Amino acid sequence: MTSGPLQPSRRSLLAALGLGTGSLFLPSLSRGQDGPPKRFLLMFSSQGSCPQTWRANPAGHPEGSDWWEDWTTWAPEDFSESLRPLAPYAAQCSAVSGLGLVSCAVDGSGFQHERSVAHGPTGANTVWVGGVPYTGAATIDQRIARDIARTDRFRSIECSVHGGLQYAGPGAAIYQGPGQPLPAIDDPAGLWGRLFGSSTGADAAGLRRQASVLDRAAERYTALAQSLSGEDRARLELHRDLVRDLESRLGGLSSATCGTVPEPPTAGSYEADFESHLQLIGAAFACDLTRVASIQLGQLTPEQVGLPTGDMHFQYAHGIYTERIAELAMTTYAQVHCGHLGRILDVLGSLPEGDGSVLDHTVVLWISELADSWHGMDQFAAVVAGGAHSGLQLGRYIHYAATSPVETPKPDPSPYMGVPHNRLLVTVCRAMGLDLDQLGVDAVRGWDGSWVDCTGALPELLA
Amino acid sequence: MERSGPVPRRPPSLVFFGLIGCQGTFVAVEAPRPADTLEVGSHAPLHRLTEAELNRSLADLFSHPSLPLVDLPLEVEVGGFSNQAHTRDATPYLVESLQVGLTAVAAQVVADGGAWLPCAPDGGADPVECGSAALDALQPRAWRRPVTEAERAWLVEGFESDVREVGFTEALTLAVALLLQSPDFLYAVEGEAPDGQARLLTDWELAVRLSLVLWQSIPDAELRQVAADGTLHEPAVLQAQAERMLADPRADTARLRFFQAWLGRSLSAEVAPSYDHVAPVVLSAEELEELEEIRSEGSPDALQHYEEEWGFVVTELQTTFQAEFDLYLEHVVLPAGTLDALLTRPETFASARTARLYGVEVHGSPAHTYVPEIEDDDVYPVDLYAVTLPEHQRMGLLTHGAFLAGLSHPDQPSPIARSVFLRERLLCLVTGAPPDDVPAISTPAADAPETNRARFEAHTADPACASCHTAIDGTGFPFEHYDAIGAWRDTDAGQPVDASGALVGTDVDGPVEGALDLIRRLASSRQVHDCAVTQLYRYAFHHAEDPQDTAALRDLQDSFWASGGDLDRLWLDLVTSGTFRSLRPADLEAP
Repeated sequence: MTSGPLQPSRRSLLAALGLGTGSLFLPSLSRGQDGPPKRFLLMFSSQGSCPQTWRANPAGHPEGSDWWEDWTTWAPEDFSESLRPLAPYAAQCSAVSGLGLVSCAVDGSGFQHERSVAHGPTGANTVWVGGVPYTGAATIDQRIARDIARTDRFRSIECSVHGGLQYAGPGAAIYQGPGQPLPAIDDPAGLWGRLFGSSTGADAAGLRRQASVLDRAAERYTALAQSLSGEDRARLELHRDLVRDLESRLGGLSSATCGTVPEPPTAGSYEADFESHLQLIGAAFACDLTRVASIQLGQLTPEQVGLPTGDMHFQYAHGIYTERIAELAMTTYAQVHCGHLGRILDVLGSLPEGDGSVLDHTVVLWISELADSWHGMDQFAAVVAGGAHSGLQLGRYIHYAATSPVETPKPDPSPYMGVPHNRLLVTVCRAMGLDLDQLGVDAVRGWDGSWVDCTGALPELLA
Repeated sequence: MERSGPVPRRPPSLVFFGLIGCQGTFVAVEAPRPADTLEVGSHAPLHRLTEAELNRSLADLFSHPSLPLVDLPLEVEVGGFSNQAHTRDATPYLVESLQVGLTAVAAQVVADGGAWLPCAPDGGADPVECGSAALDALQPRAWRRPVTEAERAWLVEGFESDVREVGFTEALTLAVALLLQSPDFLYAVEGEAPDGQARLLTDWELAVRLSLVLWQSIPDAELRQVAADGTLHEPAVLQAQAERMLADPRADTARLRFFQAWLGRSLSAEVAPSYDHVAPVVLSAEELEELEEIRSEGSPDALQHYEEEWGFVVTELQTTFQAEFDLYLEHVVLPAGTLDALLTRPETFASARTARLYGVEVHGSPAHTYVPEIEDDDVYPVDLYAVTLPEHQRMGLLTHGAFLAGLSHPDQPSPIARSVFLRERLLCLVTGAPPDDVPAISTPAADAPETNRARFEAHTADPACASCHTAIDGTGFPFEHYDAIGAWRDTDAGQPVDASGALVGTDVDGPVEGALDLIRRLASSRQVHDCAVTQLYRYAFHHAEDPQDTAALRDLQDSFWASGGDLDRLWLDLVTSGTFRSLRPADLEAP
């Protein structure tokens, strides 16, 4: 090839990237003068939680109070059933209970999966197209990328395991902005191809010529955009900007040193695919190919939680408040995903960087679509995780009392929802160094006529 | 079709708008013609070529039999269509994929030469002359319109400068890659009228719409000639071109893609039956015995072996249903040429495995061998045989595996999913979303068998559910004779199947008994015919209709119904309609 592939020579140093941890040797060539960069990883799962087995309260704090505890001091049995597999990781994460998808509860009705896929990572109202809600703002990972991504590297990477949240939303869960979905790569071999797959002997002159092609293409976008107006013009201008970004990436990627990253097998089992994606994200973080990633976890099957073949969503998820088997199924479901979060911490923690590891400067946010798997919008379960420089208070279990006067179908008779989850999103953005106080809507109208404030961080979670 | 007054028949005045500077602005080659006497639909948003349109265009542009396919990221669907403007803004991965894919194509066509390159691939005696000539010929074809001198210079001058530095092959590859990455190729750009008014398309713009809708490709030499002559907008010329293009095999492929998206060919990929439930139906006696033996051995190795073998069977079922969908459309529906045929024909195609499922025999030699387009050596070709479905059990697309099994749970059919799909796609009914507290469907218990229908009826006995589910279930229960893999059953949980239902909220309301009764009713429905037109309209204009489209849509629907659901006529009506031949600027309000 005379020109073309995006990723010149990044295949010399990285040690073999096997399925085990600890096999990675990643030199920290990416570090700037200010120390390692911060990274963000969104783990986005499906179906929501089983709140009664997710919540913990070993000290018996009174209902209706806000409290937090250092859960690194808890005995394993103090952990809730759903979160028990996180006990060994308690120092590296914090659980937040008592949040509500308040913005979602008041944004239309029905379409709970679609609405919550849209609200969970944005807190913003949806855009309805053809009677179906689509995500109405940049998702939190993209909002963070806007501030922290290197313009000469991948702005972010999106991957999914077994379809991710495609089934639950209209095809995509991660958005650059309204009407701008970022489809996820499901096949690990495909993700590898994007990040590490192309090899070329393109020299500096070759790169310059490829960049020149993009430069001239971008000029043509500018010229043509001027003849259009409105959304059509905006479409060409966006494309033009992305061509410019790619032009900048050609040079930037050629300067990254990631060593040899072996190609993972093409899509296989759920666990193998998750592991492959995670290894690739780790490698990409370590050599600063990107600073933002998201991994969508597709719906688990009944077999994965130890039940006979069937349909998780249809036969079990809705039944958590009425059927013991459904409660057990969704509890195990959460435990399986705790295992995934633990694995993320293991892998990122095993990648050396400076005096520590890549995890030290990484924030991981685990949220799900929906709040509970009964399609409810209250009791939104969230876990944040990371390392010493995450900017978050880790090692805590934090609970907020339900104080938002917003109506939503709930199993309990309280007319209040939890604290708006927008505040969790703001907190994570602040931990990432973003100077903002609001993500998504600023307030929603409560049933008592008051405005429920959705702005501001959660101070108990911010370091 | 002309329903709203005569088309203004002014000859195109070949006025070039001023164009200054090397980049210039878009040039309308002809002076705009006002469209005030036509039904003009709403603004059709700027369209970026889909992956299929891009690859078809490249194949035609270079007349190359085996170009590397440009692989683009998944597109997000709206109502089944992945070509809708709302979700197709460019993304970083898209731009990378275009750069990688189109550069590979450029490298390939330069290396291979061919009719588009008037010299040997090394440039021959006068490489600059050869490359410039090739680009001069290529650019207006790729951009689907004449180019200005400044636009020509933008492309050719770069090549002429590069060729001295890097030689012919690389310089031409860079120039072709640039040409293909330009928005003029990747987007179907329609200039706006200077006064912001609705106007007729120029002949070149009309040629682009025609070739994309009918061929998913670029205009061919004849269409270009007619556009260059300035006669394409004349009704007789347009009609003749449309008829010519519809007779070309490319039109069948393009139309097939519409049906695939509209009617859910991709549902085949959702087919994931449970072994216990369907193995006895889809496996031969020998296969069943063999797999049972492996499974009963129980060792981890044996279980893994069993899972692999069953995985092959499921994959084969999925690909067979996909193949059946395509073959039924190509060999039964399009030749018959009516919407009725889509829903009611008994002829279809089955593999040895799906023949068992349909309860028919296969003999003789296969009619088609389907080789799945999957980059995986483990996927085997599937032989399909022409079969006729049992008269009292099946007819048409809604009794095929893709629909029945694709809209089932692993062990039971889903009357809800079948009904919602059918109501949304065929009747254009908007299904209300489920309420916020849906109870779980009970799991079938071994000791107290209950029919699938009874479980769903219990589910929707709640008056709050009933308001929507009376309509939904009534359209879904008639399919209860088809189990989770789409095989016929007379009993469910030991009781006779009750396949009674009712159509509610349609123009053919009333009780129905079984799927065939329901299907005949749908085939006779004006609402279904109107919905088919609406779906094509969305697909062709890349967005959902809005009130500005009502009149144009109504014209097309009237004609389709009057023609008895003639599919050729529908496409002809579409591409000769006022709304297809005109454009409304984005910000122009309805009159």
